[in-house]
Amino acid sequence: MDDIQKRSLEAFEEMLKSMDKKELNDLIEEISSMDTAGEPTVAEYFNQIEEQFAHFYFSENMDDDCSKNNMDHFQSFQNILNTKYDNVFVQESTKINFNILLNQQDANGIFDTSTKSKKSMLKNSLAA
Amino acid sequence: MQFLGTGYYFWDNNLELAKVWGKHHYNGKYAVIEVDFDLKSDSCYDLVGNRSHQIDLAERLNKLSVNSGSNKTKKWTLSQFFTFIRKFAVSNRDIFPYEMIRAIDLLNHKKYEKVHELILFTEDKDNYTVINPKIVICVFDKNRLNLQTKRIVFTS
Repeated sequence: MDDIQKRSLEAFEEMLKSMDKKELNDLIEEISSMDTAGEPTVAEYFNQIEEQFAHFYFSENMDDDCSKNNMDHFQSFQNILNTKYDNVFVQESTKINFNILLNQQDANGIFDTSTKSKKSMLKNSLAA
Repeated sequence: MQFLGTGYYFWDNNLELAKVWGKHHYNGKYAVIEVDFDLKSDSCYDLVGNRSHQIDLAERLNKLSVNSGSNKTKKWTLSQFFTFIRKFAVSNRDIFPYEMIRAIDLLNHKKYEKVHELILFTEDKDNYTVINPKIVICVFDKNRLNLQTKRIVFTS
């Protein structure tokens, strides 16, 4: 541990000890609720979806052994979608090809939620 | 919330990840820009290659739990912890003097082992390591970067 790190750790502990306990716990409560309170915002939710897409993109060129993982992965993806939206679903078309079917997309494949808080591009097809 | 709190995010030496990000977040119209960083132990809180910083994080989480008497922090995410500590670093820089954080994202690394390039240490054991990990760097203030080294390495 170098001097900077040591000094920083000590400063952190001093800060914790000097803080009013109620103030500290109020702040902890506030930050704790940031990730867990209520539904994610639309923007947060679509970030999660896009993360799933990124992983699928990576797996496009994998061999058959990995396609089972893709199917499991997309079933999980569908389950997540079902908890949030009724009209968005994932359909397995072949063993490793999937189509994303969205009822609310425009001609350019732009999916928009009714809240309009974020536009998120989802591809019509992620077929390998 | 962002993985490591508010900041500017970079992939560490991973052009392919940057392309995937551009493809899915910028409608396929994007450029990948490469910037050189100095990853010094006094400016980068390195949860990848600095064992001392990993231990430091565990200690801080423990001190937070003990001093607050709250069980909630035991379930905190990295994002929550760094949001907390950076609030105090604004008024007292000693509390967290770092300008960036570096961490590995191991999501599904076992499932997509070909992407992450898992490799066994020996044939007779299951022990393995990852040679293509997803490493993210969060920079708090872009003005701290040496942008003179910025260069475009890919355009879609």
